[in-house]
Amino acid sequence: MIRIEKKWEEVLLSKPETGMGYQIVEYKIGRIKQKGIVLNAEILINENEVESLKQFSLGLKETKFLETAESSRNIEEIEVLSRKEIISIDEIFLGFMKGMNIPAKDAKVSYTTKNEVFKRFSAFKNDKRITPEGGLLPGTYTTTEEDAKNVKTGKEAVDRYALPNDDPAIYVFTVKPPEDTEVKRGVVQPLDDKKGGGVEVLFINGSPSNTVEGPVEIPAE
Amino acid sequence: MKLRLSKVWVKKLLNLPETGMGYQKVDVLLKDGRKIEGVFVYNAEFLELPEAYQGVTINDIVDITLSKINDFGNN
Repeated sequence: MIRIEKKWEEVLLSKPETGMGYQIVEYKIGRIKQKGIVLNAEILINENEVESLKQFSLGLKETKFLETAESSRNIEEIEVLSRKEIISIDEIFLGFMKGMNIPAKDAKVSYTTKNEVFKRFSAFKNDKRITPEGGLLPGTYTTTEEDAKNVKTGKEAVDRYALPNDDPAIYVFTVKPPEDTEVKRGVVQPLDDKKGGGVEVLFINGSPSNTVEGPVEIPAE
Repeated sequence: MKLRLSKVWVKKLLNLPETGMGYQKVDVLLKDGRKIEGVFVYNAEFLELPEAYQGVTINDIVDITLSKINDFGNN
C-alpha cells in the first residue's frame, strides 16, 4: 500500500473515477508496470494486495489506510485505465469488494467483460427467473464461474450463498451475457447459521435471450 | 409452512428484483389488516410463513411487496 505523492494526486484528480471513490490505474516503478486501485486519489493498493484489505472489512476507515500506507517517491508514471483497457478489472474490483465485504445491492454498477461466465444455483429446475427464451429477468442474482468452483453440492450452495430455502440448490445454470452487461458485484452476507462469503453478482437489467444454458444437476450433499 | 402463490402474485414478483439468489424478502398484507413482514418467497412462487400464520391461505393475501427490512435479518 502506497501513499501517493502530491504531484500524482493532482494528476489523478484531473482524471475520471473508475467507480465511486476509486480509480483503477497502471503505474510504473523502475521498469516495472503494475496495476492497482487508488482510493481517494491518495492511497495506491497494488492488485496483489487487495486481499489484505479484508482486515478492514469490519470498519473501513480511511485513517487506517493512511496509517498503514508507506510514502513513495518512486512512482515514475501513473495513468487511469479506461474500462476497455482493464482486462482483469473484475478480479481487482472483486478482491477489493471482498475486502470491504459489501453485498451486491450496495455496490456500484460494473460491467461484464468479454466471454465472462456466471453460474446460478437453484433448488428449482423450472427456475422462473430464467426466461423461456433463455435469458435472465432484471434483478436476478448469480455468482461468478470462479466462485462456483467452491461449490460441489446443493447444500454447499445453500451455505455459501446464504440461501434461506434449505432445499439443496442442485440445479446449476450457466449464464454467458454479452460484454458490457450491467451488473453489481459483492459478497454474500451471513444469514442465520449460513456462512455466506460467496461472490454474488446482480444482473440489474437481466441478460438477453439465448444467454442461459442448463441446468446441470449436482449432488444434494 | 409454504404457500404456493397464484399466477397473479408470481407475475408481480417476477417483475421485482431478487433479494438474493433464488429468493425475495417480502411483506405480506392480509385481508384482516395484519402485515407479515420480512418473509421469504422462493422462485417467485413459494411463500414461507411462520407457524403463527398457519391458517392463512392465498385467498387471505391482499398485497405482496418487497420488504424494507434489510436482507440480513436485522431491522
